[in-house]
Amino acid sequence: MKYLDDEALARLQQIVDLPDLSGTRYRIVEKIGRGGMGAVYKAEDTVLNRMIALKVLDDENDEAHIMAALEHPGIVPVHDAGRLSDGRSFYAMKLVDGAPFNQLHTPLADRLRVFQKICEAVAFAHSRGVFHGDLKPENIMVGAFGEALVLDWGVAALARRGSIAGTRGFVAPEQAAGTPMDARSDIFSLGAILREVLKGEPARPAITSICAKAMAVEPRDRYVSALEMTAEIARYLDGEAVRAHQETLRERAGRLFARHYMWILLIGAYLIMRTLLLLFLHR
Amino acid sequence: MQFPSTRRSAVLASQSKDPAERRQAFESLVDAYWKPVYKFVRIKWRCDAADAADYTQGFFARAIEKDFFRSYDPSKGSFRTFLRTCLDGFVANEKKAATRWKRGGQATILSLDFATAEGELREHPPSPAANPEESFHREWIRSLFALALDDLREACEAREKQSEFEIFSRYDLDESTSYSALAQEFAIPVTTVTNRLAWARREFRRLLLDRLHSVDGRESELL
Repeated sequence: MKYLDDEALARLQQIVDLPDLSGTRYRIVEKIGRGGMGAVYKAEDTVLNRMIALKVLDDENDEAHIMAALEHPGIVPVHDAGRLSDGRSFYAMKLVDGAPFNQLHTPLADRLRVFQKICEAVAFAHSRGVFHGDLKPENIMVGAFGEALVLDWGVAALARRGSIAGTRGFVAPEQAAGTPMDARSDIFSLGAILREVLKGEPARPAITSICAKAMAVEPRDRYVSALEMTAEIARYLDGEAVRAHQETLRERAGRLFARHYMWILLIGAYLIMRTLLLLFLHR
Repeated sequence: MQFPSTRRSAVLASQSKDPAERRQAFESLVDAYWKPVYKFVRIKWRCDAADAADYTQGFFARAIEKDFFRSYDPSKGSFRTFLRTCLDGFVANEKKAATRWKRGGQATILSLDFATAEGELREHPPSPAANPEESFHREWIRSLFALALDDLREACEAREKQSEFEIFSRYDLDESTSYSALAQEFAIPVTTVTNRLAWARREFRRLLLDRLHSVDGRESELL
Protein backbone atom coordinates (compact mmCIF):
# COMPACT_ATOMS: atom_id res chain seq x y z
CA MET A 1 0.00 0.00 0.00
CA LYS A 2 1.54 3.27 -1.16
CA TYR A 3 1.93 6.01 1.45
CA LEU A 4 0.05 9.10 0.37
CA ASP A 5 1.73 12.25 1.59
CA ASP A 6 -0.40 15.26 2.52
CA GLU A 7 -0.09 16.87 -0.91
CA ALA A 8 -1.10 13.74 -2.82
CA LEU A 9 -3.94 13.14 -0.38
CA ALA A 10 -5.19 16.72 -0.78
CA ARG A 11 -5.19 16.33 -4.58
CA LEU A 12 -7.13 13.07 -4.37
CA GLN A 13 -9.60 14.60 -1.92
CA GLN A 14 -10.18 17.43 -4.37
CA ILE A 15 -10.70 14.98 -7.24
CA VAL A 16 -13.21 12.99 -5.22
CA ASP A 17 -15.03 16.09 -4.04
CA LEU A 18 -15.14 17.79 -7.42
CA PRO A 19 -18.26 16.74 -9.31
CA ASP A 20 -17.79 15.22 -12.73
CA LEU A 21 -19.78 17.56 -14.98
CA SER A 22 -18.83 15.84 -18.23
CA GLY A 23 -21.93 15.39 -20.36
CA THR A 24 -23.75 18.31 -18.74
CA ARG A 25 -24.19 21.90 -19.89
CA TYR A 26 -22.43 23.22 -16.76
CA ARG A 27 -18.86 24.21 -16.01
CA ILE A 28 -17.68 24.75 -12.46
CA VAL A 29 -16.35 28.20 -11.60
CA GLU A 30 -15.80 27.86 -7.85
CA LYS A 31 -17.09 26.20 -4.74
CA ILE A 32 -19.44 28.43 -2.76
CA GLY A 33 -20.00 26.31 0.29
CA ARG A 34 -20.75 22.94 1.81
CA GLY A 35 -23.69 21.97 3.94
CA GLY A 36 -24.65 18.73 5.58
CA MET A 37 -26.52 17.56 2.47
CA GLY A 38 -24.04 18.47 -0.25
CA ALA A 39 -21.74 21.03 -1.80
CA VAL A 40 -22.81 24.15 -3.70
CA TYR A 41 -20.81 25.49 -6.63
CA LYS A 42 -20.98 28.59 -8.73
CA ALA A 43 -21.19 27.22 -12.25
CA GLU A 44 -21.64 28.48 -15.78
CA ASP A 45 -24.61 27.32 -17.82
CA THR A 46 -22.84 27.06 -21.18
CA VAL A 47 -26.12 26.93 -23.13
CA LEU A 48 -27.73 30.04 -21.71
CA ASN A 49 -24.43 31.79 -20.92
CA ARG A 50 -25.29 32.65 -17.37
CA MET A 51 -24.05 31.83 -13.90
CA ILE A 52 -26.08 29.45 -11.77
CA ALA A 53 -25.70 27.75 -8.40
CA LEU A 54 -25.21 24.00 -8.68
CA LYS A 55 -25.81 21.79 -5.68
CA VAL A 56 -24.31 18.31 -5.71
CA LEU A 57 -26.00 16.07 -3.18
CA ASP A 58 -24.10 13.61 -1.00
CA ASP A 59 -27.13 11.35 -0.77
CA GLU A 60 -30.29 10.92 -2.74
CA ASN A 61 -33.08 13.22 -1.50
CA ASP A 62 -36.15 15.15 -2.68
CA GLU A 63 -34.66 18.61 -2.14
CA ALA A 64 -34.85 19.68 -5.81
CA HIS A 65 -38.44 18.44 -6.18
CA ILE A 66 -39.51 20.18 -2.99
CA MET A 67 -38.00 23.47 -4.13
CA ALA A 68 -39.39 23.12 -7.65
CA ALA A 69 -42.88 22.65 -6.21
CA LEU A 70 -42.58 25.86 -4.18
CA GLU A 71 -42.92 28.62 -6.75
CA HIS A 72 -42.72 31.78 -4.71
CA PRO A 73 -40.68 35.01 -4.98
CA GLY A 74 -39.06 34.16 -1.64
CA ILE A 75 -37.94 30.67 -2.56
CA VAL A 76 -34.96 30.19 -4.85
CA PRO A 77 -36.12 28.76 -8.20
CA VAL A 78 -34.77 25.44 -9.47
CA HIS A 79 -33.84 25.37 -13.18
CA ASP A 80 -32.72 21.80 -13.71
CA ALA A 81 -31.99 18.54 -11.94
CA GLY A 82 -30.26 15.33 -12.91
CA ARG A 83 -27.49 12.87 -12.29
CA LEU A 84 -23.80 13.32 -12.93
CA SER A 85 -21.70 10.65 -14.56
CA ASP A 86 -20.05 9.98 -11.18
CA GLY A 87 -23.44 8.85 -9.88
CA ARG A 88 -24.27 11.86 -7.70
CA SER A 89 -27.51 13.81 -8.00
CA PHE A 90 -27.40 17.53 -8.65
CA TYR A 91 -29.71 20.42 -9.26
CA ALA A 92 -29.18 23.84 -10.77
CA MET A 93 -30.82 26.90 -9.26
CA LYS A 94 -30.71 30.65 -9.50
CA LEU A 95 -27.44 32.13 -8.30
CA VAL A 96 -28.47 34.87 -5.90
CA ASP A 97 -26.26 37.89 -6.26
CA GLY A 98 -26.46 39.27 -2.76
CA ALA A 99 -25.48 38.76 0.84
CA PRO A 100 -26.60 36.41 3.61
CA PHE A 101 -29.24 37.95 5.84
CA ASN A 102 -26.85 38.16 8.81
CA GLN A 103 -24.49 40.36 6.80
CA LEU A 104 -27.12 42.99 6.11
CA HIS A 105 -26.17 46.31 7.70
CA THR A 106 -29.25 48.43 7.11
CA PRO A 107 -31.54 50.20 9.63
CA LEU A 108 -33.59 47.89 11.86
CA ALA A 109 -36.89 48.78 10.17
CA ASP A 110 -35.48 47.74 6.77
CA ARG A 111 -34.20 44.45 8.16
CA LEU A 112 -37.58 43.80 9.76
CA ARG A 113 -39.26 44.33 6.37
CA VAL A 114 -36.88 41.77 4.85
CA PHE A 115 -37.71 39.47 7.77
CA GLN A 116 -41.41 39.81 6.91
CA LYS A 117 -40.65 38.58 3.38
CA ILE A 118 -38.88 35.57 4.87
CA CYS A 119 -41.93 34.83 7.04
CA GLU A 120 -44.17 35.06 3.96
CA ALA A 121 -41.99 32.58 2.02
CA VAL A 122 -41.99 30.18 4.96
CA ALA A 123 -45.76 30.57 5.38
CA PHE A 124 -46.19 29.71 1.69
CA ALA A 125 -44.11 26.55 2.11
CA HIS A 126 -46.17 25.63 5.17
CA SER A 127 -49.36 26.09 3.15
CA ARG A 128 -47.96 23.42 0.78
CA GLY A 129 -47.18 21.10 3.66
CA VAL A 130 -43.41 21.69 3.58
CA PHE A 131 -41.42 22.58 6.69
CA HIS A 132 -37.91 23.93 6.17
CA GLY A 133 -36.29 22.51 9.31
CA ASP A 134 -33.04 24.48 9.09
CA LEU A 135 -33.95 28.16 8.99
CA LYS A 136 -31.00 30.33 9.94
CA PRO A 137 -29.51 33.61 8.63
CA GLU A 138 -26.95 31.78 6.46
CA ASN A 139 -29.79 30.08 4.58
CA ILE A 140 -31.39 33.38 3.62
CA MET A 141 -29.91 35.47 0.85
CA VAL A 142 -30.90 39.06 0.29
CA GLY A 143 -30.58 40.00 -3.37
CA ALA A 144 -29.53 43.22 -5.02
CA PHE A 145 -33.16 44.41 -5.27
CA GLY A 146 -33.93 43.74 -1.62
CA GLU A 147 -35.57 40.39 -2.35
CA ALA A 148 -35.15 37.73 0.34
CA LEU A 149 -34.69 34.14 -0.83
CA VAL A 150 -34.86 31.12 1.44
CA LEU A 151 -32.29 28.49 0.45
CA ASP A 152 -31.29 24.97 1.40
CA TRP A 153 -34.39 22.85 1.72
CA GLY A 154 -32.33 19.71 2.30
CA VAL A 155 -33.55 19.24 5.86
CA ALA A 156 -37.15 19.53 4.63
CA ALA A 157 -36.37 16.59 2.36
CA LEU A 158 -34.95 14.60 5.25
CA ALA A 159 -37.89 15.52 7.49
CA ARG A 160 -40.14 13.78 4.96
CA ARG A 161 -38.18 10.61 5.60
CA GLY A 162 -38.43 11.10 9.34
CA SER A 163 -34.79 11.98 9.86
CA ILE A 164 -34.13 15.55 10.89
CA ALA A 165 -31.18 17.76 11.60
CA GLY A 166 -31.22 21.53 12.15
CA THR A 167 -28.64 23.94 13.49
CA ARG A 168 -27.88 24.48 17.16
CA GLY A 169 -29.11 27.89 18.30
CA PHE A 170 -31.87 27.92 15.67
CA VAL A 171 -33.45 24.48 15.91
CA ALA A 172 -36.64 24.09 17.99
CA PRO A 173 -36.26 21.99 21.14
CA GLU A 174 -38.81 19.40 20.02
CA GLN A 175 -37.04 19.05 16.65
CA ALA A 176 -33.67 18.66 18.37
CA ALA A 177 -35.24 16.02 20.63
CA GLY A 178 -36.25 14.03 17.56
CA THR A 179 -40.03 14.42 17.75
CA PRO A 180 -41.74 15.06 14.41
CA MET A 181 -41.45 18.70 13.40
CA ASP A 182 -44.27 20.91 12.14
CA ALA A 183 -44.83 24.55 11.21
CA ARG A 184 -44.25 25.65 14.80
CA SER A 185 -40.70 24.27 14.71
CA ASP A 186 -39.99 26.69 11.85
CA ILE A 187 -41.69 29.48 13.85
CA PHE A 188 -39.15 28.85 16.61
CA SER A 189 -36.31 29.18 14.08
CA LEU A 190 -37.84 32.41 12.74
CA GLY A 191 -37.83 33.70 16.33
CA ALA A 192 -34.15 32.78 16.63
CA ILE A 193 -33.43 34.66 13.38
CA LEU A 194 -35.34 37.68 14.72
CA ARG A 195 -33.21 37.49 17.87
CA GLU A 196 -30.13 37.76 15.63
CA VAL A 197 -31.66 40.78 13.89
CA LEU A 198 -32.11 42.50 17.26
CA LYS A 199 -28.58 41.82 18.48
CA GLY A 200 -26.77 45.08 19.20
CA GLU A 201 -29.98 47.12 18.99
CA PRO A 202 -31.32 49.14 21.96
CA ALA A 203 -33.89 47.17 23.99
CA ARG A 204 -37.38 47.32 22.48
CA PRO A 205 -39.83 45.42 24.71
CA ALA A 206 -42.53 44.98 22.04
CA ILE A 207 -40.32 43.36 19.43
CA THR A 208 -38.45 41.37 22.07
CA SER A 209 -41.84 39.94 23.13
CA ILE A 210 -42.53 38.85 19.53
CA CYS A 211 -39.21 37.06 19.56
CA ALA A 212 -39.93 35.43 22.93
CA LYS A 213 -43.38 34.24 21.83
CA ALA A 214 -41.97 32.71 18.64
CA MET A 215 -39.26 30.95 20.66
CA ALA A 216 -41.53 29.63 23.41
CA VAL A 217 -40.36 26.22 24.62
CA GLU A 218 -43.84 24.77 24.26
CA PRO A 219 -44.93 24.75 20.58
CA ARG A 220 -48.53 25.57 21.59
CA ASP A 221 -47.34 28.89 23.11
CA ARG A 222 -45.82 30.06 19.80
CA TYR A 223 -47.49 31.87 16.89
CA VAL A 224 -49.76 29.49 15.05
CA SER A 225 -48.43 30.60 11.68
CA ALA A 226 -45.62 32.55 10.08
CA LEU A 227 -48.25 34.94 8.70
CA GLU A 228 -49.44 35.73 12.22
CA MET A 229 -45.85 36.50 13.11
CA THR A 230 -45.38 38.81 10.13
CA ALA A 231 -48.65 40.58 11.06
CA GLU A 232 -47.17 41.25 14.50
CA ILE A 233 -44.02 42.71 12.90
CA ALA A 234 -46.28 44.89 10.73
CA ARG A 235 -48.07 46.16 13.85
CA TYR A 236 -44.74 46.99 15.42
CA LEU A 237 -43.53 48.82 12.32
CA ASP A 238 -46.83 50.76 12.10
CA GLY A 239 -46.60 51.79 15.76
CA GLU A 240 -49.60 49.71 16.78
CA ALA A 241 -49.86 47.61 19.93
CA VAL A 242 -48.23 44.21 19.57
CA ARG A 243 -50.40 41.33 20.79
CA ALA A 244 -47.52 39.41 22.30
CA HIS A 245 -46.68 42.30 24.61
CA GLN A 246 -48.58 43.72 27.61
CA GLU A 247 -47.72 47.42 27.50
CA THR A 248 -47.16 49.58 30.57
CA LEU A 249 -48.85 52.99 30.60
CA ARG A 250 -45.52 54.65 29.90
CA GLU A 251 -44.78 52.36 26.94
CA ARG A 252 -48.25 53.00 25.58
CA ALA A 253 -47.81 56.77 25.91
CA GLY A 254 -44.38 56.55 24.27
CA ARG A 255 -45.71 54.44 21.41
CA LEU A 256 -48.70 56.70 20.81
CA PHE A 257 -46.45 59.75 20.88
CA ALA A 258 -44.05 58.15 18.41
CA ARG A 259 -46.93 57.17 16.15
CA HIS A 260 -48.81 60.50 16.27
CA TYR A 261 -46.05 62.93 17.10
CA MET A 262 -46.78 65.17 14.10
CA TRP A 263 -50.39 65.64 15.19
CA ILE A 264 -49.35 66.08 18.81
CA LEU A 265 -46.78 68.71 17.83
CA LEU A 266 -49.25 70.52 15.58
CA ILE A 267 -51.97 70.57 18.25
CA GLY A 268 -49.41 71.60 20.88
CA ALA A 269 -48.14 74.43 18.68
CA TYR A 270 -51.72 75.51 17.97
CA LEU A 271 -52.59 75.55 21.68
CA ILE A 272 -49.46 77.52 22.58
CA MET A 273 -50.12 80.08 19.85
CA ARG A 274 -53.73 80.35 20.90
CA THR A 275 -52.75 80.84 24.55
CA LEU A 276 -50.20 83.46 23.61
CA LEU A 277 -52.80 85.23 21.46
CA LEU A 278 -55.33 85.26 24.33
CA LEU A 279 -52.74 86.60 26.72
CA PHE A 280 -51.81 89.29 24.21
CA LEU A 281 -55.45 90.36 23.66
CA HIS A 282 -56.25 90.53 27.40
CA ARG A 283 -53.14 92.43 28.31
CA MET B 1 -29.29 5.71 -9.87
CA GLN B 2 -26.39 5.82 -7.44
CA PHE B 3 -23.49 3.51 -8.12
CA PRO B 4 -24.28 0.37 -6.17
CA SER B 5 -22.01 -0.41 -3.29
CA THR B 6 -20.36 -3.76 -3.87
CA ARG B 7 -19.26 -4.04 -0.27
CA ARG B 8 -21.71 -4.71 2.45
CA SER B 9 -21.30 -2.78 5.69
CA ALA B 10 -18.41 -4.53 7.40
CA VAL B 11 -19.73 -3.35 10.75
CA LEU B 12 -22.97 -5.26 10.14
CA ALA B 13 -21.23 -8.21 8.54
CA SER B 14 -18.87 -8.51 11.52
CA GLN B 15 -21.92 -9.71 13.47
CA SER B 16 -22.92 -12.29 10.87
CA LYS B 17 -23.50 -15.91 11.86
CA ASP B 18 -21.42 -17.03 8.90
CA PRO B 19 -17.78 -17.31 10.10
CA ALA B 20 -16.38 -16.66 6.61
CA GLU B 21 -18.40 -13.47 6.23
CA ARG B 22 -17.46 -12.40 9.74
CA ARG B 23 -13.77 -12.94 9.03
CA GLN B 24 -13.92 -11.02 5.76
CA ALA B 25 -15.76 -8.11 7.43
CA PHE B 26 -13.26 -8.05 10.20
CA GLU B 27 -10.39 -7.93 7.71
CA SER B 28 -12.03 -4.96 6.00
CA LEU B 29 -12.24 -3.08 9.27
CA VAL B 30 -8.66 -3.94 10.18
CA ASP B 31 -7.43 -2.85 6.72
CA ALA B 32 -9.02 0.58 7.14
CA TYR B 33 -8.19 1.10 10.78
CA TRP B 34 -5.01 -0.64 11.89
CA LYS B 35 -2.63 2.14 10.87
CA PRO B 36 -4.72 4.96 12.41
CA VAL B 37 -5.05 2.83 15.57
CA TYR B 38 -1.31 2.14 15.76
CA LYS B 39 -0.35 5.78 15.17
CA PHE B 40 -3.01 7.04 17.59
CA VAL B 41 -1.66 4.80 20.35
CA ARG B 42 1.89 5.93 19.58
CA ILE B 43 0.96 9.63 19.66
CA LYS B 44 -1.80 9.97 22.23
CA TRP B 45 -0.69 7.31 24.67
CA ARG B 46 3.02 7.97 24.08
CA CYS B 47 3.78 4.26 23.76
CA ASP B 48 6.96 2.97 22.19
CA ALA B 49 6.72 1.14 18.88
CA ALA B 50 6.61 -2.36 20.37
CA ASP B 51 3.94 -1.47 22.96
CA ALA B 52 1.85 0.30 20.33
CA ALA B 53 2.04 -2.80 18.12
CA ASP B 54 0.95 -4.97 21.06
CA TYR B 55 -1.95 -2.68 21.89
CA THR B 56 -3.03 -2.61 18.25
CA GLN B 57 -3.01 -6.40 18.04
CA GLY B 58 -4.66 -6.66 21.42
CA PHE B 59 -7.37 -4.15 20.56
CA PHE B 60 -8.49 -5.97 17.43
CA ALA B 61 -8.19 -9.35 19.15
CA ARG B 62 -10.39 -8.09 22.00
CA ALA B 63 -12.83 -6.58 19.50
CA ILE B 64 -13.35 -10.04 17.99
CA GLU B 65 -13.45 -11.79 21.32
CA LYS B 66 -15.86 -9.37 23.03
CA ASP B 67 -17.77 -8.39 19.90
CA PHE B 68 -17.15 -4.67 20.56
CA PHE B 69 -18.72 -3.53 17.33
CA ARG B 70 -22.14 -4.98 18.15
CA SER B 71 -22.82 -2.05 20.48
CA TYR B 72 -22.24 0.56 17.73
CA ASP B 73 -25.32 2.74 17.24
CA PRO B 74 -25.11 4.85 14.01
CA SER B 75 -27.63 7.38 15.39
CA LYS B 76 -25.13 8.35 18.08
CA GLY B 77 -22.22 9.25 15.81
CA SER B 78 -19.74 7.92 13.30
CA PHE B 79 -18.20 4.47 13.52
CA ARG B 80 -14.77 6.12 13.41
CA THR B 81 -15.49 8.06 16.62
CA PHE B 82 -17.02 4.96 18.21
CA LEU B 83 -13.95 2.89 17.42
CA ARG B 84 -11.60 5.56 18.75
CA THR B 85 -13.59 5.77 21.98
CA CYS B 86 -13.40 1.97 22.34
CA LEU B 87 -9.67 2.16 21.70
CA ASP B 88 -9.16 4.82 24.36
CA GLY B 89 -11.10 2.72 26.84
CA PHE B 90 -9.14 -0.40 25.92
CA VAL B 91 -5.70 1.21 26.29
CA ALA B 92 -6.69 2.99 29.51
CA ASN B 93 -7.93 -0.28 31.02
CA GLU B 94 -4.89 -2.22 29.92
CA LYS B 95 -2.54 0.38 31.36
CA LYS B 96 -4.50 0.61 34.59
CA ALA B 97 -4.68 -3.11 35.12
CA ALA B 98 -1.09 -3.52 33.90
CA THR B 99 -2.28 -6.63 32.13
CA ARG B 100 -1.40 -5.61 28.66
CA TRP B 101 -0.59 -8.21 26.08
CA LYS B 102 2.81 -9.46 27.01
CA ARG B 103 5.22 -8.56 24.26
CA GLY B 104 5.85 -11.60 22.17
CA GLY B 105 3.99 -13.72 24.65
CA GLN B 106 1.03 -14.46 22.48
CA ALA B 107 0.43 -15.60 18.97
CA THR B 108 0.17 -12.76 16.49
CA ILE B 109 -3.32 -12.94 15.15
CA LEU B 110 -2.96 -10.33 12.44
CA SER B 111 -0.24 -9.86 9.92
CA LEU B 112 0.30 -6.13 10.14
CA ASP B 113 3.33 -4.28 8.83
CA PHE B 114 4.14 -2.20 11.89
CA ALA B 115 7.64 -1.44 10.62
CA THR B 116 6.16 0.40 7.64
CA ALA B 117 3.75 2.32 9.87
CA GLU B 118 6.65 3.24 12.13
CA GLY B 119 8.68 4.39 9.13
CA GLU B 120 5.79 6.58 7.99
CA LEU B 121 5.55 8.14 11.43
CA ARG B 122 9.27 8.86 11.38
CA GLU B 123 9.29 10.33 7.89
CA HIS B 124 5.96 12.12 8.13
CA PRO B 125 5.45 13.05 11.78
CA PRO B 126 2.03 14.54 12.54
CA SER B 127 1.86 18.30 12.86
CA PRO B 128 2.54 19.35 16.46
CA ALA B 129 -0.53 21.60 16.20
CA ALA B 130 -2.88 18.68 15.45
CA ASN B 131 -4.43 16.88 18.39
CA PRO B 132 -4.40 13.04 18.46
CA GLU B 133 -8.10 12.86 17.49
CA GLU B 134 -7.49 15.00 14.39
CA SER B 135 -4.44 12.90 13.53
CA PHE B 136 -6.54 9.73 13.91
CA HIS B 137 -9.14 11.14 11.48
CA ARG B 138 -6.42 12.16 9.04
CA GLU B 139 -4.74 8.76 9.18
CA TRP B 140 -8.06 7.03 8.68
CA ILE B 141 -8.70 9.11 5.55
CA ARG B 142 -5.17 8.38 4.36
CA SER B 143 -5.74 4.64 4.86
CA LEU B 144 -9.02 4.66 2.96
CA PHE B 145 -7.58 6.58 0.02
CA ALA B 146 -4.52 4.31 -0.11
CA LEU B 147 -6.74 1.20 -0.04
CA ALA B 148 -8.93 2.64 -2.80
CA LEU B 149 -5.80 3.32 -4.82
CA ASP B 150 -4.82 -0.33 -4.43
CA ASP B 151 -8.35 -1.32 -5.44
CA LEU B 152 -8.07 0.85 -8.54
CA ARG B 153 -4.77 -0.70 -9.51
CA GLU B 154 -6.25 -4.20 -9.15
CA ALA B 155 -9.41 -3.23 -11.05
CA CYS B 156 -7.35 -1.75 -13.89
CA GLU B 157 -5.15 -4.83 -14.09
CA ALA B 158 -8.16 -7.13 -14.11
CA ARG B 159 -9.73 -5.16 -16.98
CA GLU B 160 -6.46 -4.62 -18.84
CA LYS B 161 -6.65 -0.89 -18.31
CA GLN B 162 -3.15 -0.44 -16.93
CA SER B 163 -2.62 2.71 -18.98
CA GLU B 164 -5.67 4.31 -17.30
CA PHE B 165 -4.13 3.64 -13.90
CA GLU B 166 -0.74 4.86 -15.06
CA ILE B 167 -2.21 8.11 -16.43
CA PHE B 168 -4.20 8.65 -13.22
CA SER B 169 -1.19 7.92 -11.08
CA ARG B 170 1.15 10.16 -13.07
CA TYR B 171 -1.24 13.06 -13.53
CA ASP B 172 -3.10 13.10 -10.23
CA LEU B 173 -0.54 11.74 -7.80
CA ASP B 174 2.76 13.00 -9.16
CA GLU B 175 1.33 16.17 -10.72
CA SER B 176 4.55 16.75 -12.60
CA THR B 177 3.29 16.08 -16.09
CA SER B 178 0.83 17.44 -18.62
CA TYR B 179 -1.83 15.97 -20.90
CA SER B 180 0.36 16.52 -23.94
CA ALA B 181 3.40 14.89 -22.30
CA LEU B 182 1.28 11.87 -21.39
CA ALA B 183 -0.19 11.78 -24.91
CA GLN B 184 3.29 11.70 -26.35
CA GLU B 185 4.52 9.08 -23.91
CA PHE B 186 1.59 6.73 -24.46
CA ALA B 187 1.36 7.56 -28.19
CA ILE B 188 -2.32 8.45 -27.94
CA PRO B 189 -4.28 11.65 -28.67
CA VAL B 190 -4.75 14.18 -25.86
CA THR B 191 -8.50 13.53 -25.87
CA THR B 192 -7.82 9.86 -25.14
CA VAL B 193 -5.61 10.90 -22.22
CA THR B 194 -8.40 13.06 -20.76
CA ASN B 195 -11.00 10.34 -21.36
CA ARG B 196 -8.88 7.70 -19.65
CA LEU B 197 -8.14 10.05 -16.79
CA ALA B 198 -11.85 10.83 -16.39
CA TRP B 199 -12.65 7.10 -16.34
CA ALA B 200 -9.96 6.38 -13.74
CA ARG B 201 -11.15 9.26 -11.56
CA ARG B 202 -14.75 8.02 -11.67
CA GLU B 203 -13.63 4.50 -10.88
CA PHE B 204 -11.42 5.73 -8.06
CA ARG B 205 -14.31 7.68 -6.56
CA ARG B 206 -16.59 4.64 -6.79
CA LEU B 207 -14.03 2.35 -5.16
CA LEU B 208 -13.31 4.88 -2.44
CA LEU B 209 -17.02 5.21 -1.62
CA ASP B 210 -17.25 1.41 -1.56
CA ARG B 211 -14.48 1.32 1.01
CA LEU B 212 -16.07 4.19 2.94
CA HIS B 213 -19.52 2.64 3.04
CA SER B 214 -18.09 -0.72 4.05
CA VAL B 215 -16.83 0.87 7.27
CA ASP B 216 -20.05 2.85 7.80
CA GLY B 217 -18.42 6.15 6.88
CA ARG B 218 -20.19 9.17 5.42
CA GLU B 219 -19.02 11.21 2.45
CA SER B 220 -18.80 14.37 4.52
CA GLU B 221 -16.10 12.63 6.63
CA LEU B 222 -13.77 12.39 3.64
CA LEU B 223 -12.98 16.10 3.44
